[in-house]
Amino acid sequence: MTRPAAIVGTGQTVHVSRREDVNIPEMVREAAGRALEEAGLAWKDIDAVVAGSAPEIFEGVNNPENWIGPAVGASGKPVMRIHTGGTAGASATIAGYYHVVSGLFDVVLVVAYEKLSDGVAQYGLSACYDPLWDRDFACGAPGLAGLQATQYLARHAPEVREEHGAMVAVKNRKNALLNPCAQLRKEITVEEVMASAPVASPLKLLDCCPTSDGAAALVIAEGRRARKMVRKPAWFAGVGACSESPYVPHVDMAYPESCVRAAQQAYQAAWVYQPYRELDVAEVYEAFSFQELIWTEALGLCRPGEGARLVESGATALDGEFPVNPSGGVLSANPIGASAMIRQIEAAMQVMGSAGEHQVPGVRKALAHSWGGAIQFSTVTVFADEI
Amino acid sequence: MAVDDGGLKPPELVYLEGENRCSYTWAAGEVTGAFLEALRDHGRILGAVCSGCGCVAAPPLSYCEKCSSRFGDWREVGPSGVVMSWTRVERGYEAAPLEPPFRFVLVRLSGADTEMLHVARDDERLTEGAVVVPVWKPPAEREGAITDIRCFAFEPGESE
Amino acid sequence: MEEVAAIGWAQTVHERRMERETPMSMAYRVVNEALSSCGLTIQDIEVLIDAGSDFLDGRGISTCITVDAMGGHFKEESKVAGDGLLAAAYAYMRVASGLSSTALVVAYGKSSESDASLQTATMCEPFFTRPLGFDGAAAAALQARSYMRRYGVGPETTAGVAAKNLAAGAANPNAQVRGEASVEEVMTSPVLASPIRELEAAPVTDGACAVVLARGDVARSVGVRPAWISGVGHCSDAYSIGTRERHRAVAAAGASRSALRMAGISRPHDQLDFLEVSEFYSYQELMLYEATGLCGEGEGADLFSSGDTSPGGRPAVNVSGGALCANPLVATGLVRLAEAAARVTDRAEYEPGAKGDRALVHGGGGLAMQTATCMVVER
Repeated sequence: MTRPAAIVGTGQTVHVSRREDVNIPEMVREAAGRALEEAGLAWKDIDAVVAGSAPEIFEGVNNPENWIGPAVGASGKPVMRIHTGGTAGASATIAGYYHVVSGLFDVVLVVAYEKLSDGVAQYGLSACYDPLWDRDFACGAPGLAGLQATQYLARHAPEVREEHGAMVAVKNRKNALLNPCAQLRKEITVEEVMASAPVASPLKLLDCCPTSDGAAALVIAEGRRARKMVRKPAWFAGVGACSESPYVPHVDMAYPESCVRAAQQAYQAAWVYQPYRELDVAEVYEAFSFQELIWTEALGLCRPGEGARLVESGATALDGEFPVNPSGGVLSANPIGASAMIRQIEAAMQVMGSAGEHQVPGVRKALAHSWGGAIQFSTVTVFADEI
Repeated sequence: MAVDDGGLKPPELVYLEGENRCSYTWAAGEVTGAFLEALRDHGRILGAVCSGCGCVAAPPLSYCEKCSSRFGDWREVGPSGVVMSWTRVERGYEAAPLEPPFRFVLVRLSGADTEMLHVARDDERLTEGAVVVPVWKPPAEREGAITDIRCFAFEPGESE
Repeated sequence: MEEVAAIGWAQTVHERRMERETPMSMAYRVVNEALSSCGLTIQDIEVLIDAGSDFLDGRGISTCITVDAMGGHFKEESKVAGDGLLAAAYAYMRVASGLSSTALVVAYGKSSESDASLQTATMCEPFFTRPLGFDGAAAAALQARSYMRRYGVGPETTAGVAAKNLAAGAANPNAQVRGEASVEEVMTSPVLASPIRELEAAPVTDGACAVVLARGDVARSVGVRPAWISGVGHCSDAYSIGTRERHRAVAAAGASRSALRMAGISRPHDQLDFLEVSEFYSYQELMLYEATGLCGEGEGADLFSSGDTSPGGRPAVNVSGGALCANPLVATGLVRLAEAAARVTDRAEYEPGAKGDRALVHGGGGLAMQTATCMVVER
C-alpha cells in the first residue's frame, strides 16, 4: 500500500517578462512563502527541499539550489535539485512526492523558477542540442515546434487547419483574464493570430508562448498531516513519466509515444480508464498553440486528429464539457523551469477549490501534463479530492 | 574511414571544437542592490541585520543564511577587518582576479558576524589575525560591484 | 517502506582522457556491465535516475543526449543535479516507496572535453564570489586552513592521508592514479592553493559508473549477493563560505547522522567495518572522520595517526584510493557506493585492503563540501 501524499499549499509569483526588482533566491522565496502560508507552516516545519529549474546555462549559475537554498529555509536540511529541462518543475514535484511516499520525509517543499531576463533564452535553448548533430541548426524551441505543427497538420489535413491552433490561443488568452498570476492578460481573436508575424511556419507570434520570469512552489505532506493542514488537500492519485530518444527525427512529434506512455502509467495508478469521462479538467503544457491539440490526443482525452474538434466545439473552453488550461496555460505565462510545476499547481488548485475566478465547478479529478527536452520527456500527474 | 583490402580501418579520432559563450545581466534585488549601491555611491560597506537572530551579514545574501529570516536593518561595518582565513594562489587561471601569486582572504569586518570574501596582493603579513583595510577604486571607476573594492591590504595607503 | 539493495554495479577504468569514448559510449558500457553483473536486462529496469553536469558537457539538459545510451528509451528518467550518490538516494526513494521494483542509477563525467574548474567556478553566485574569480580549489583552501589552524593539524598529516590513499589506489584496477607517493613527495609537490598541495587534490578524470537498485523481493531472487542499503541521508550547509562554520563538515554530519540512525548505528567507529568517502582534497578526509562520528571534533588527525583508517585497520577509509585516485565528476560518489557494495558482498574484482560486512559511503558537492549524501550498505 503506497503511503498517501497530497499537496497542501501552493504559491506562484505574478509572472512577468522581467523581474528586475529581485534576484533568483528572492523570487523563489516569494512563491515558497505563499505555499507555506496556505499550508499554515513556518520554514522550520519543512523536512526537505526539492528544487526544479531548467538548464543552468539560462541563468549561468551551476547547482543554483546551493545558492537558493538558504532563502527557502534549507540551510542544514536535505536539498535535491531535479533537472530535466522543460519538465523540471513537474519532475521536481514528482521527486518531492517520492521523498514523502518513500517514508523518509513527512513534509517537503518543492520550488521551481525561471529568470530568463538574467540571460539569453534562445541561446540557452539552442545549447540543449547535441553539438555533433543538431546544434548547427540551432533551431531553438520555435523551430522544433514549427516542425511538430507542420507534421501534425499534414497528418490530419484537411479536417485540421491552422485556424485550430489560433482557436487554442484565443481560448487560453481569454482564460488568462481570470488568472491574476498570468503574464499576458489581453484577449485576442483568431484573425489577429492568423495575421501575426510568422515565427517558424506554421507558427505565428500569437501561437507562441512568452518568456517570463517567475517562480512557483508547493508543499507536499503525508496523508495524516495533510488532513490536518487543509480542508481539501489535492491527493496524488497517479504519477507517470517517460523519456525517449533525443534525436529529433526518431520522435513522432505529432503523437509522442513518451506522452502516451506517461499518461498510461498515471491513469493505471489512478484507476482511470476513460480519461475524458473520469477527469474533470486538464492543464497541459502548450508552449505553442498546436501542442494543446497534440497533447489532448496523446493523453487519450480524444482520438488522434480530434483535438481540433474539441477546441472548435468549445468543449475545452472554461465553461465547456472538459476545460483545458483554465489558467490560460503556458501561452499566457512561461517561466520555463516553473511552467511544468504551474500546470500541477493549477490542477491541484482546481481540486482544492482555490482557483478563484478561473475555478471550474465540481472538480474531483484533475490532470497536469508537461513536456521537455527535444519533445522527448513527458510527465503526467493526476490529482484527486480523495484517496 | 579508409577502405583497404582487409576491410574498414578504424577512423582517426575526429574532434569538434566549440564554445558556449553566453552573456548575462543578473538582477541584484533589493538587499544585494542596496549593498552594492553603497559601495559605488558612498564608498561604504553595509552589514544587513537579521530580524530573526540579529546576525549582521556582510556581504548579505538576500536572506539570513542561518535562520532564513528577512533582514530588517542596515548597519555600517568596517572599513577595517580581521583576516580569518586566507589562501595563496600561485597558478594563473582565466578568471584570476589579480596576477598570481595573490591571496583570497576572508575578512571579518568590524561589526559584522560573517566574513567577506575578497582578494589581496600577496603579502606575508596577511595571515589570521591581521588587520586589513579595503583599497577602493576611485569613485569614477566604481560600478556597483564587489570589485569596487579593488582588494584588501595590510595598511591604509598601501596600493598595488 | 520497502527494503532496498544494490544488486549490480560497474565502473569504467577511469582515465585522464578517454579519447575513444563519448559520454554515450561510456554510459552504454557501464549500464550493460552493471546489468549483467546481476543478471538483469534493461527491460527489467523500471526507472532511470542519472547525474551529469551541463557545464562539463557543454550541453543544456546534458543527459537528454545520453538517455537512450543509458537505456532510458521509453522509460521514466530523471536527472539529479550534483553528485551521483545523490541520484542514488533519489533512486532509493523510488524503490523504497514500493512503486518501482528496480532502479538504475548512472553518473558520468568527461572533464577532459572542457575545463574541469568550470564546474566549481560556475557554482559561484554572480555578485560576491564570481567577480572575484573564486572557485572550488580556493574555497577548499580557505576551509582547510580554518580547520587545520583550529585543531593544530600539520601539513604532514594531510600529506599522510594523500600518501595513504595513493598507495591504496595502486591495487585498484579502475583507479586513474596508480602510483605511490611518499609523504615527502606530497609535501613538496607544487602548491595548488595554500595550504593544499597538488598531490593532495583529486585529479581530473573521465569516467562513468552505474548501480542497479532493487526491492527486497527482487534482490533476493537474482542469484547474486545483494548489498542492503540500511541507511540513507542527504544534507546541505549554508551557501556563503564566509557564513559557514568552516571547521566542520556540517552537511556530511547531517547526512551521516540520518543514515546511521536509520541503520541503527550509534557507535560508528566500532560498528562500521570500513568507509568510502569523497575526499576531493585530502584534508577533507580528516574532517569526514569527525563528521561521520568516527571520532570527536578536532580528533581527525589523531585518528589518522592511530592507523585505524589505514588499510588493515578498522574502520579503514578509502582503500579504493578514494577520489584522490579517480575523480570522474559527478560520478565520484556513486563509485564509492560501487566500491563499498562490492566489498560487503565479497564481489570485489580485486583484493581490497579492507573487508567487512558494513560500510558508510559518502558523496559530496558544492564548494568546500557544502552538500553531502551518505548511505550505509551492509551484507
